[in-house]
Amino acid sequence: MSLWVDKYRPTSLSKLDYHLTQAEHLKNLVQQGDFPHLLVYGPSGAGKKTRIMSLLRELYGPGVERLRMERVNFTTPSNKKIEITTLNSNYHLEVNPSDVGIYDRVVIQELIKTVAETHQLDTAGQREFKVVLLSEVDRLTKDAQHALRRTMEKYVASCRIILCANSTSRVIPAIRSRCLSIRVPAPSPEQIIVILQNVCKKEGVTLPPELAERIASKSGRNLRRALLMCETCKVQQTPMQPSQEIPALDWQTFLEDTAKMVVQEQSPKQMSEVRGRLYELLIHGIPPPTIFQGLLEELVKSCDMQMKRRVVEAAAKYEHRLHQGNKSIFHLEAFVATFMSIYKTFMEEMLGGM
Amino acid sequence: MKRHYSDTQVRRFGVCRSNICDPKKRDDLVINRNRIKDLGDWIDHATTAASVSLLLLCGPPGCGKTTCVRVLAEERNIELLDWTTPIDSYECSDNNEYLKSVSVAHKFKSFLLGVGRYAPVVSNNSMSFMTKRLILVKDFPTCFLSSPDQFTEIIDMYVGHGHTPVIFICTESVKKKSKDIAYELFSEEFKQRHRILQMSFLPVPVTSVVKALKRVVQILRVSVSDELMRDIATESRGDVRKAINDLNILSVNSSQPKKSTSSVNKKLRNQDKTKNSSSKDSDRETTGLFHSVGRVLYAKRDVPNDVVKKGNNTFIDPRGNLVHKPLEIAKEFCHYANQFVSLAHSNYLDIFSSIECIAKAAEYLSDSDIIMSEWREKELLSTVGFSVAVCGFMESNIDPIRRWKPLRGSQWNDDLRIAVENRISVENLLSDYCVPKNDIILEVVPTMKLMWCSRNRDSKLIKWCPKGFFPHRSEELLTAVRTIKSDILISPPCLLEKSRIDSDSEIHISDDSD
Amino acid sequence: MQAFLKTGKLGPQSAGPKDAKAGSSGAKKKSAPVPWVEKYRPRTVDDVVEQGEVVQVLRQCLSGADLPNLLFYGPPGTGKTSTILAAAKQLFGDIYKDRILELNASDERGIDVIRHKVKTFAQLTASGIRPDGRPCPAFKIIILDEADSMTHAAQAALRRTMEREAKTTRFCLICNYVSRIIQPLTSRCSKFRFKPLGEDRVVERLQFISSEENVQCDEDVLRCLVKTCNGDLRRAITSLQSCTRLKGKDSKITKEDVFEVTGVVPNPWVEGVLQVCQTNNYDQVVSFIDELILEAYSASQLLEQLHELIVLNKDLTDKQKTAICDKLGLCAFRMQDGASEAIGLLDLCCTIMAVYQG
Repeated sequence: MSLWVDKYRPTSLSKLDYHLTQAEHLKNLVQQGDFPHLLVYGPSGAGKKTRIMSLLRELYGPGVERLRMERVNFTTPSNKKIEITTLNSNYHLEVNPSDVGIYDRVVIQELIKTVAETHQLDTAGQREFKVVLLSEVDRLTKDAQHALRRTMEKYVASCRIILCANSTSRVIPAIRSRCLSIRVPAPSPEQIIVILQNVCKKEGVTLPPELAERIASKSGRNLRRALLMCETCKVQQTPMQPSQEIPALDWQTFLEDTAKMVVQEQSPKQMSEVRGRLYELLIHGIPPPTIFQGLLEELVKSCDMQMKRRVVEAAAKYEHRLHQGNKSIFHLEAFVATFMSIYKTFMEEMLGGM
Repeated sequence: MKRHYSDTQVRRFGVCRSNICDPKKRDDLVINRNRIKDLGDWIDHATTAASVSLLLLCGPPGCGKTTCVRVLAEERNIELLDWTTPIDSYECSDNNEYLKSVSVAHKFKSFLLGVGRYAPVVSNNSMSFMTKRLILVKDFPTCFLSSPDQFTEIIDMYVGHGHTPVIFICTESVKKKSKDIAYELFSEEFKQRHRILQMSFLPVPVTSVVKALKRVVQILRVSVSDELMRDIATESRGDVRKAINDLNILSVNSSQPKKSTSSVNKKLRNQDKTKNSSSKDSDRETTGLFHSVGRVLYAKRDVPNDVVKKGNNTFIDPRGNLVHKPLEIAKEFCHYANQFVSLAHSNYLDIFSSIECIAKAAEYLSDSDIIMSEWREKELLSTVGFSVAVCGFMESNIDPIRRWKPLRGSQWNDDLRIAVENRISVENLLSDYCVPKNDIILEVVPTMKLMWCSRNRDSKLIKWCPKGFFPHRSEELLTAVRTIKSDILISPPCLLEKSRIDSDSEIHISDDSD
Repeated sequence: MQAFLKTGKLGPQSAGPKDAKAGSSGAKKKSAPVPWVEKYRPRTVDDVVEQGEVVQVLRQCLSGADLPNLLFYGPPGTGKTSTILAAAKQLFGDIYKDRILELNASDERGIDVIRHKVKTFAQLTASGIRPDGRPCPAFKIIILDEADSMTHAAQAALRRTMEREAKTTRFCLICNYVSRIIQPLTSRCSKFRFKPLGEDRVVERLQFISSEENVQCDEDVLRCLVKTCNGDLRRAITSLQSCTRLKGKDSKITKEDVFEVTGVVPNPWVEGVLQVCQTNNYDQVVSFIDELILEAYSASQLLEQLHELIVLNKDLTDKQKTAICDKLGLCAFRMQDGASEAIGLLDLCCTIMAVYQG
């Protein structure tokens, strides 16, 4: 048994559950001779990867699903050895260049070069190009993006690049203009409910409509999350009950509690407790921007409009710094401290005014 | 402290220890009680268990790893067998690298297998009643560094034959870049295979070092002021051995150990070979890193009244001028900017008295981080960024708390480093799921845990997740994830299922042996 | 096929020559797909849409006058590169490949490249007669595309080369922002500003292409396309091609397709920002932003469109506009650095709310 998310993932363009017009468009794209570079973007859990894989299958047939995992070694100009894991089939290669941090440029240049220069020997092969699938391009350094742009032009004959990103804001315009952009919006709650019901039917369990609705709304239109939640519910209680509790993820609860602590008391001692918890979150691999978002959502709940504005302003400032600086804890801490200070002053004024 | 028992490979610790300063009782130890208890439990378990147990004990230098083992062993009347790399074998071998390494490795092997396998037949001293024994390997033969396989082989063999528990002691070097022995020799896989438990000691906090020093002072019957002891303790950075040595040297060399702080600092500094002769002014004399961090955080100011008298051509801060000039401190420590800032960062919350001051200081810290992160003008900007941090701390601290608190190093930095490694290994473990890497940690792993917990309510996992979280120590986390993966998600996801039908394709999943 | 021979090794997007080189023999037989941008580049100077001044100069040159060093600047997609390429083709005919060197920012362009590549090319002799016996100018042209992204040091190095090789070589610098070219270089060139193309001319050109390619497209859709592309002809043509690729040849292209391909945020969403801010309800704003991001619209694109909307808004005073635009700029800057879109937009909306509240 594998996770439902993987088990019921559609594998071809005709089996996709939603965005059907788009699927039609993608089919048209495959049927034409000139396949452009693609930039597929959309929020997490919207089905970007599913669409890309279906598209590849449409291009090359089921052979793309025979995957191998390989480790490739590179040497940077500064003579540092780096290793990256790739997932490839005979027709395509998937890699996440941001795994190697600031050395992503080398990976992009070398990897695409290797792919582009090895000819496709399969004469029966329908295409004269291979596909390189780069995930999380929005996390690439600017340097790497410029290199990518050059590489795209250079090897256009033997290699197409599919880029996958959460948002296009960080992708440089030069790349955007060279790709055909495919926007993948998140599925609507109704679509999610239908999919959940279908999956449950296939699994032979009944999903109460109320529960389906609650899962859909709690998932924040993230299909992956919805499916994971649904499966957890099923594991926790079979048959599923309409009033069943949808379990929250451990780190979310932890983060919420942390935010509550911030509102509770504003003192150096509390600050130090909160810092310990922030560290705890970081150590468990929760990305700092996610912590930031979660904190902000919780904290503003106990503010009035004017304060909300100040808090959001501070959040925007420090969240930005998170991406500029190295030590995320400094910026998280600065935000929490600023909030505490704002909140404390506010409470004191309230008390003074009464 | 160096051993010179080159001819005897087995050193027996007994009651006849020469060094009177070493702790004798459990209460004398300055290590975290839980750690001591853990170690004691392990020893109890290991010496009674049927199969052979191995333990890897890690920690920074001088945090009392060996001492703790020794005290606990003595408490339990366990004989301690210590491996010492024979020095003479280097000298007598005919300069042949290969032969030499073989011979040392061979000796190590015969030591382990010989000593660990058989109970002592002849008891040559009064300790014949001791039947329980422990092997202590502290001094790894250097030849294993170049060929870890050899080491693995010997241990494999030992696990098969021997029955005496072995404790490997591994000192973590302070520099992060130089990998320490444990990482080289004890790979994750290796630890897994033999269920080698890893225990880590942290640097000893300043107060505990002071406690240890006080005990030594009593034994040596010298009088040393509290202030001096505290200075020595902060200077030692959690290294008890160094602290005691420093104390010894001071009490032996100087006729008056009660000398003023600054001279002690000077002495300590000289030992550390820090260049400090250039500055003449005694106030500006190089003081230790901890000391200066303290100066910055406490931001002592002179009384405003005095300043008024001094004249009116200088800018007068109504709060009083700073006693120690921030820019001078910044200049002095610009080469240690990172350590300085992170040390100050881990301590300022304890010293600042109001949240407003903290908010201000935190903002300065955040400023300084983005300045220091700019790589294009690294040299210049790191100095600027550092100055911003130092000035920011001193400027924003309006009313520091008066009572003195010991400074602590931060254990988080190392933990964060481990966390990154963990994340990568977990991601690799689960990389056959068709999910972006971020979401593996954020969604898949927590969900797996939820499912697993609700299936096996009285499971090991509950123990693994003390705070409702996965443990973050690498080996525990990996075991947990691996167990879950194999328990509830027996078969891998769809992509791989498909390929199983096509028998010609092959999938390599990293390390999925469990 | 002819088209692709003509475009040769020119544009960055040229798939042609590399296909022929690297592709298998099968690839050659299939007509290699050429981007429409390349296919429909103007062939002669007279084909160039608008830009009267520069066309006049080039025409004179074609009829025998000397060609000065050129500096073309103007917004993207106004025909800068196309103009000089068309001129070169007319000047040199078939041998134009030997007579021009095109360097764009995609190539490594440090000082060394300027010194060596440019120098070696400049030193090749150029005769005044074509192989077919017709006369042609006795000089070569070096085209430096995207010159504003050259470092100042490289630009300074160019200055010397330009003077030394003046006899046999003409330079043509192409850039978007003339202010980024150092003074000594601008003074050595005749500057030509390329105006944004008029909507009608662009539509005309697009209609021509659609009829050539059998694309079914109404005029108002084309107009909409031109508007979303801000008069950038290249972008318009690329978008048109992308639409066709997605929709297939037989179906009609609609406005929605245009929006989808160009990544423009539909107007209701942009106006929605201001509307939701007028409610002064924080929770509504948050859910609006969440929706926007879940629909995968690009926040930075939204900011651009929002900026236009705010500048042209008649209900806001100048002071209010300043306050909003100030924050808008900050947000756009932060997003460039990778900051969270949700928090950035929220910050902006809070500012707008405050402005509306007075």
